[in-house]
Amino acid sequence: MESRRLREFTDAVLRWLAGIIVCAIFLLPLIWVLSISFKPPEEWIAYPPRLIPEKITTSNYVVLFQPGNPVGGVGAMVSAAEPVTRAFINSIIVVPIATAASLVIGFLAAYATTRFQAGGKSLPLFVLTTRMFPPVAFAVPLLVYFRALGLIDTQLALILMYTGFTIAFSLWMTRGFIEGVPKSIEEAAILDGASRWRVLFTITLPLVKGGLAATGLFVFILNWTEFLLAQIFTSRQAITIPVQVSHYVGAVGRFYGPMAALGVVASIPVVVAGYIIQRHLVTGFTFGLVRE
Amino acid sequence: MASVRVEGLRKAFGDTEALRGISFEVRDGEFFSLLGPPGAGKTTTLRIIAGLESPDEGRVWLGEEIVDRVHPKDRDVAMVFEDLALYPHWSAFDNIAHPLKLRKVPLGEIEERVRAIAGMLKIDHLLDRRPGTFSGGERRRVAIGRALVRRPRVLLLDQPLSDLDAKIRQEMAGELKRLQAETGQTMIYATHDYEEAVSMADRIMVIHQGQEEQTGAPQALYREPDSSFVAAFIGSPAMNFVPCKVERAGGELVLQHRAFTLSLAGEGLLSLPDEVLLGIRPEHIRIEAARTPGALPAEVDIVQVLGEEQVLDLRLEDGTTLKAIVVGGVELKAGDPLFIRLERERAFLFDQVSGRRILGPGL
Repeated sequence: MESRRLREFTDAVLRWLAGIIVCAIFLLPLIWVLSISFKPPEEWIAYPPRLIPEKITTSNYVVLFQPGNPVGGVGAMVSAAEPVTRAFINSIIVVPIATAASLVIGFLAAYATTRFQAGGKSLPLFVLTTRMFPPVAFAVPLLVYFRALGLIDTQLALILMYTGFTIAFSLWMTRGFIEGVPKSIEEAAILDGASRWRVLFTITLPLVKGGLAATGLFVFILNWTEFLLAQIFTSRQAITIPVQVSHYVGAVGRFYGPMAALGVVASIPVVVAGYIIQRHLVTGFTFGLVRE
Repeated sequence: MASVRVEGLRKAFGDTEALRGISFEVRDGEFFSLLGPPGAGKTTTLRIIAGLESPDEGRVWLGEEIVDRVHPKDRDVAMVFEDLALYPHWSAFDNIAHPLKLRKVPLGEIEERVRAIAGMLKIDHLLDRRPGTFSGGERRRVAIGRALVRRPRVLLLDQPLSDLDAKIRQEMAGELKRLQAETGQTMIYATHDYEEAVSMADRIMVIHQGQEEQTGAPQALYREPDSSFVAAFIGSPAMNFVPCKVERAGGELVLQHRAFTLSLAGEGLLSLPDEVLLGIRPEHIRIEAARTPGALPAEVDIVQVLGEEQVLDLRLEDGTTLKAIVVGGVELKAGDPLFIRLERERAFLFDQVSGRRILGPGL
């Protein structure tokens, strides 16, 4: 008896220990970023490093929005940078629109390819080939197109690219969820008198909404953090947050404080989105309940 | 409600021919059953009537209307699917109300009709819950309710009772029959279980490999099967088939088997082939304790006791085995010797090659 209880106890301890180690590995960089964002310049890369700043300051956050504001001695360093507002607005507009468009197109394409074999059996694979090359391979031809269309440094250019590049993910991820809905459920609804579209919206969509939420979150994060294309296709007007982060570099070095502060601020929408969607990630999978 | 007529249905999926010319007519208010082994084409036939599948050849009439070009949603045909296909995200009430909502029936009437059908199916207490937690029987009731609530022109049932416990299956079969009688609903019921078909249907069509074997009332199929396939499919345990030779001795025809001979009398036997299958149902083999003229010696091989009945596997002298049913009386065990008598007036002869019935009932 004694030894069994002892073993249960050590098991629990080991499980907790493993959990803590894993969490530490994943959380440490985040905590570090949070820590730096509240540090004054002299502490950014001070050695030995301190987790809790000696002098806690919010000046890194202030200069994000007011570059040149002399507070904490950071402002002068980043006075060349734009206020973060524009990048934030751009990201807030571009990313949700592109994500929604990708999700809608991807879902409909997935539905058409799974239920009607639209475009032939290999169409989904064909769509996937857009992800088989690094995005930069597409950048030069797209640059030519967008220049001709006058779309360089516009939100529209980013929306088009982000939508296009993530459709493959939307299509492939939602396909699996659609296949999980028995065909007979849709046929039953049709015999009840529903049109195809009605079946899609009242039967299939509610049954895959958990999957759509997961796909949406995934695509949202991809787009929210995209740097390469945004860096190439924008210069001033349409820059996004990841591009803005790269602007906190001066002749004398990197301005880790504002970078970290922006990282923290930029994480908020993703965390909020994840939190909202979380409920749907867990539920939504109502399949397998159709028959015992 | 309406009659249904299909004519010359053919359908191939790739290289496999699911239907090879199926025709039948179901009268208004009739309970019609499609009976056949898995893969016979029952489901395909139902799906074509519903419009979920289009035939390569053939037509479908609902009442007087040819519905080849009518979209399934406008055919007013209801179907209970083999997997039931309930909407898992809706309550039982919403499941059943769905066809009425789509027909823009006023809310008050929807409520009334759903409650009425739920009462008939004894699922009143389930209406507010989702199908996820229902038992197999409850799910079937909801699916049947959804199909019946709008009083469709025809109700198609695709083996809705398969995978149920025998007890619940019997209970539900009885209720379906009662429901059909009460509503006068035209129903087409596909099943591979002859007992279901026989216990419910007014008429049965036996199909096999996409073709009709025989259509008729349950009793007619049992008493006068057109083919050895139907004879074997209807009845349990299945009919015994014994290959025999036909010999002509001095103007008389004799059925020759290693263990017995039967002289055949009667007209029109001249065209008998040389080799035939003698068919005799287990319930038409009588057991006799003592040897009487014409009785065959046999030995009991296996005994299955089913309440009053005993199903015997009997071995004739030459090793041929026959199944026989004995009701009540003697207790038999393996190895017991006994005598059997075939009830000739209930026996059949079938062609060995085509399986068609040549003679019978009665030799």
